[in-house]
Amino acid sequence: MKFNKFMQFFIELIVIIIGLFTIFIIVKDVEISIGLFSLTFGILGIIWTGIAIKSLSKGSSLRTYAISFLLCLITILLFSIWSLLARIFNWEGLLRYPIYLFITISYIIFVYTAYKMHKLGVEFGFQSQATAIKKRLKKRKH
Amino acid sequence: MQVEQKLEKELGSLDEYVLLAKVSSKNYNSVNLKIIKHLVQVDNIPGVYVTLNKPYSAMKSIFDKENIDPKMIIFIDAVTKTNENQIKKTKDCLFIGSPEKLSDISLAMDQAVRAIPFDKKFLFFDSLSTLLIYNKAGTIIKFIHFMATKMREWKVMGIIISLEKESNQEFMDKLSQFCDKSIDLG
Repeated sequence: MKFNKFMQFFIELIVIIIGLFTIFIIVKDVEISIGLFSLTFGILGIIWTGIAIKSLSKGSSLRTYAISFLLCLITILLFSIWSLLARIFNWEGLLRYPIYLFITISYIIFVYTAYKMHKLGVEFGFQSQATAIKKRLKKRKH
Repeated sequence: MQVEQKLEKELGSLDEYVLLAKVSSKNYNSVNLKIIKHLVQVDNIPGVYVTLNKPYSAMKSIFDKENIDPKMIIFIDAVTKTNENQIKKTKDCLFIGSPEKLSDISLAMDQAVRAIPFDKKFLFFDSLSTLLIYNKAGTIIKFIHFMATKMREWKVMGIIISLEKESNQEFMDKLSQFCDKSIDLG
């Protein structure tokens, strides 16, 4: 079982390396290659988060958090796509402004997501109860 | 045979298990109390009580009446309705807002169990039958499979209560296979 998992990981790693190598060979420009490379990870992130949202219970805190995180990923991806297109077609002037717009929106949504995360921590943190249990057990033993 | 004796006979001195406890609606209250009383008052074991059947306020007054120390238990209440079904936290209990929010119930159980800093702890799930009212049978089977796996990972004494006569046999058989023991507690 462990060997199979290792083999699977090994094959996946080789496939990723071959994919990267192919991107860098086909696209000669390093900046564009890195842009394409980042995009693939962004898309994968969106797919995984989408699957997670689909399987989480409707109205749950975790789902709301996952939705916020998905919005962050989407705006970051839009930022990457626009930057890549600007680089490929040498866009200048007004056409470059959406890049700043996307990154600003990303940060705003990141702050909102961080707030959601903070709320999750407050809601699902049980440290005070755990301390109370500890004290109670200590008291009972004495 | 008494509930305590039955549990002692079936589980012996096991520190970790996943138990499906089938009770009749007639004895439901007394059996639940006997199990909790035995764990908390006799064995001095802290734990997590997930209630989907009675609101926390009702559980607390019953526990007070029975001299069960509520400070030894972390309560997760998924039955009390909150504003817009939102999660509400008080110093004694976490209110999930709805029994349909299985993701939040799972997350709350995980965090609560891991927060208790002792090797011996229990997780009491009350009850499976209520889940059936709000969720599809397939979803519950998946949820219980997840919960049983987690209970083993957490190394807890896991007790899942089910009202026997309200659940069909095929469903109960499917659930029993995920648990270490399935006991009829009358």
